[in-house]
Amino acid sequence: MAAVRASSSKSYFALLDLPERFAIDPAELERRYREKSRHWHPDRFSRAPVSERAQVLQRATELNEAYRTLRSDGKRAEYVLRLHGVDVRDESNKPALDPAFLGEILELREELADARVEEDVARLQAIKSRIDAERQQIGTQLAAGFARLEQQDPTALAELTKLCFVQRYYQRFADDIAEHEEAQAGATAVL
Amino acid sequence: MAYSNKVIDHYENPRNVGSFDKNDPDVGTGLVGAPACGDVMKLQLKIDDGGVIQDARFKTFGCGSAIASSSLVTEWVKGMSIDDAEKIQNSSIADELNLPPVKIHCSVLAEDAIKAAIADYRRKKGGPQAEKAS
Repeated sequence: MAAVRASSSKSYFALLDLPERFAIDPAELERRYREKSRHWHPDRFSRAPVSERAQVLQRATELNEAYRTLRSDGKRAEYVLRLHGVDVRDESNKPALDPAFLGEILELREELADARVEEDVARLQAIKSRIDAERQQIGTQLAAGFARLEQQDPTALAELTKLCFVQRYYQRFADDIAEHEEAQAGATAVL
Repeated sequence: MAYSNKVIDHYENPRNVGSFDKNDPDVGTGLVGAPACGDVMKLQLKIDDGGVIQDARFKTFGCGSAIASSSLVTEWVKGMSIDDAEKIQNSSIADELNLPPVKIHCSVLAEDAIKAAIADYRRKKGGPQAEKAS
């Protein structure tokens, strides 16, 4: 897989006229995205030649992808690392993670499974809060790490790579919780 | 993506799910993770003094292929010497389960888990290969 989508030579940041850095103002991102989406909206080009319409559609798709990537702290962090030549989707970049960390993830997973079986709402909530807190802390560490990267700190890149890997475990955990909650909500709605 | 029948079988009826006491001197514990998908796998081997694997347990939180890979290896390694178990290649696991290319990393995870469990056992026993195995 190419490091950055080849279809446009512009980075996601450039597509949205934003500076190429991790620190981002969510309101600004939102504003730029709306502005650009309006500009590249396929409806505005309905009378253009076919080839141009195809290009516009591609632009609109790229714009959506850029927005989705930059909106999420985790995805944006991984994207900025890719711009620095580190692809965390590549397992061969996997740093040695502390076995204690994996143990902790496994324990949390077991606890989550137990709480679901027992339908222990309070415990489920506690696990969710803990995951949220961990993710928030990682977010803070990512921001600090990227600030150091911008100041050419040579150790920052390796640390950020590791953080992004750690972040994925919690991301996956949070996704799992969200999916489960949706499924539950769906089941209740059917009743 | 369609899972093979063998994957589905192991997923629906996983073999040897559970835990041994990780402080038992005859138990080697391997804990590995695949950050790309956030999977975690714990494999434990109970090994006798002759270096033969008596029993195995696993706990895997991940996709069907990761669960099937770990379930399969717990069946395979029982009765094997640790030297032979260490030689199990991920390609044999992937072949047996007909894993598609995007799920090969699940079989790699299972191979890594066996090696990690044996390394942990050797470390506990303080054998000459303890250093090498880690």
